[in-house]
Amino acid sequence: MEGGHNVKEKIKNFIVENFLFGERTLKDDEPLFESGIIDSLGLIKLIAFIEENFNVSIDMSEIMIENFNTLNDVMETLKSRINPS
Amino acid sequence: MENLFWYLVSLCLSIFIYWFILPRKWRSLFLFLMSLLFISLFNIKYVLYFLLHIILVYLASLYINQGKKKRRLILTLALLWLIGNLCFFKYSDLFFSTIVESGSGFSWIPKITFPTLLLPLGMSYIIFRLIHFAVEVYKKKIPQSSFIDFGLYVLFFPTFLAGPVERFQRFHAQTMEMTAPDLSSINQGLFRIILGVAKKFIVADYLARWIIPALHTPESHPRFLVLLFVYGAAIRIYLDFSGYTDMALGVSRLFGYKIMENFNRPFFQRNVAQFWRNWHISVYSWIRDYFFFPFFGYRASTLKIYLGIFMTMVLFMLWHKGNLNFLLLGIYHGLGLVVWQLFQEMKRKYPSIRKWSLRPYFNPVAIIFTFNFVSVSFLLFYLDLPHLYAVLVRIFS
Repeated sequence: MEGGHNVKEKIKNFIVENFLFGERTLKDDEPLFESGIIDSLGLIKLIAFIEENFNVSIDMSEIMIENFNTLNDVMETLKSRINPS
Repeated sequence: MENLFWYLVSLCLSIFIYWFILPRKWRSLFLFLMSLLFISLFNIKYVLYFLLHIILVYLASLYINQGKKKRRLILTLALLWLIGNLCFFKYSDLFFSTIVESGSGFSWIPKITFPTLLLPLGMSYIIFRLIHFAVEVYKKKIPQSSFIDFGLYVLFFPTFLAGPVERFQRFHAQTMEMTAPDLSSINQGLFRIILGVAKKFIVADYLARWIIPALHTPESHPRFLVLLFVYGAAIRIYLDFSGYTDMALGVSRLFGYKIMENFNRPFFQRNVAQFWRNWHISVYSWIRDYFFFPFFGYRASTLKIYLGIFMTMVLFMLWHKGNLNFLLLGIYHGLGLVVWQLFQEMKRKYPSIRKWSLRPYFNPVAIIFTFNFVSVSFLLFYLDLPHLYAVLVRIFS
């Protein structure tokens, strides 16, 4: 799998394009759910995007808001499966 | 009123004992026993019934935690037991009465009467906490805890009757970290209790006495006033339930616990999805986490996701009560959520729609629309279909 920084940028772009409609940027520690950027359906789409694009598998037990609440949380969840570079 | 007086006296006494007499290590046991005592005031049988559930789930969790081979089977059995009990008490009356009614047209079928089953108070919330605990233990997200700490989490008396359904990790962390009495917590707790009493017993009860009879005779009132009654009825439900939540959270604060909020300005949300994320948050998020995600959220097709959104809302409403009104509420809001998601898809596809949705007037209009969409549907909490129809005819004719 590609390096952590690349992955983070691609996930950020995906969220900005699909949920913020390119209208503004996203901070790494911005809560995605509390601020209403992503809902349950959004989470499923985000997980599908991650699985399809980075060749990782996310277990069903990992699908919970706490693991994907901010961009940093997403990266923490994926930590063991991506290269640190 | 006398009951309320004695409740307040015993509450003050127990707060004093809790903070100033008992050493820290005895506080969980004290609150657990207080909770059992509180439940026994309603019915001593409830205490035994709930303790049975708690013991079974605790034993199951010990087994699952040890990582033995059949942990998935044990989890499944525990869930079946819990869901089976909840359904039995909540829907058996409906089931039996349907059987009796369907047989009433045939004279050769003997008349049968089934005993009425009384749903133990607070049962749904207790079952939700137990399911949450069992599943999270299975996922290895919950550390091993003592039976008393677990029992306290499930039966914590301020939230026993109607939630919120706090999550174990947050509750348990507070049990572990509890040290000295905190004056600002007690002040906040008292404020929430007073706020809750005012919302529930003054404003909501006053609105109920005035609005509910008027909604049953819409033809006797001017159209504009009937519309205000519709809004008032929705606001009354909010004040009644959020007032209860304020009291539950306030009493919890007096014992040093900060329990999750159940409402976050639901009538100021811009769409039906946001509304439900901010209404009865603890149960709605519970159903999302333990029904929607496991059954519809994992590598699902778009169609399955939409079906899941719809089914989750129907289930959420039928959980309130198994009757036609709540089925209709579920269908109405389930469709509302699906339409909202389709609109989101259109915003992604068509820049013109996206641009339109970003205009300055869009947000206030969306808030007003959402409030109306919800308020009309909340009439189903009060009215049967003919009365609901009469109200709508009065407003729109």
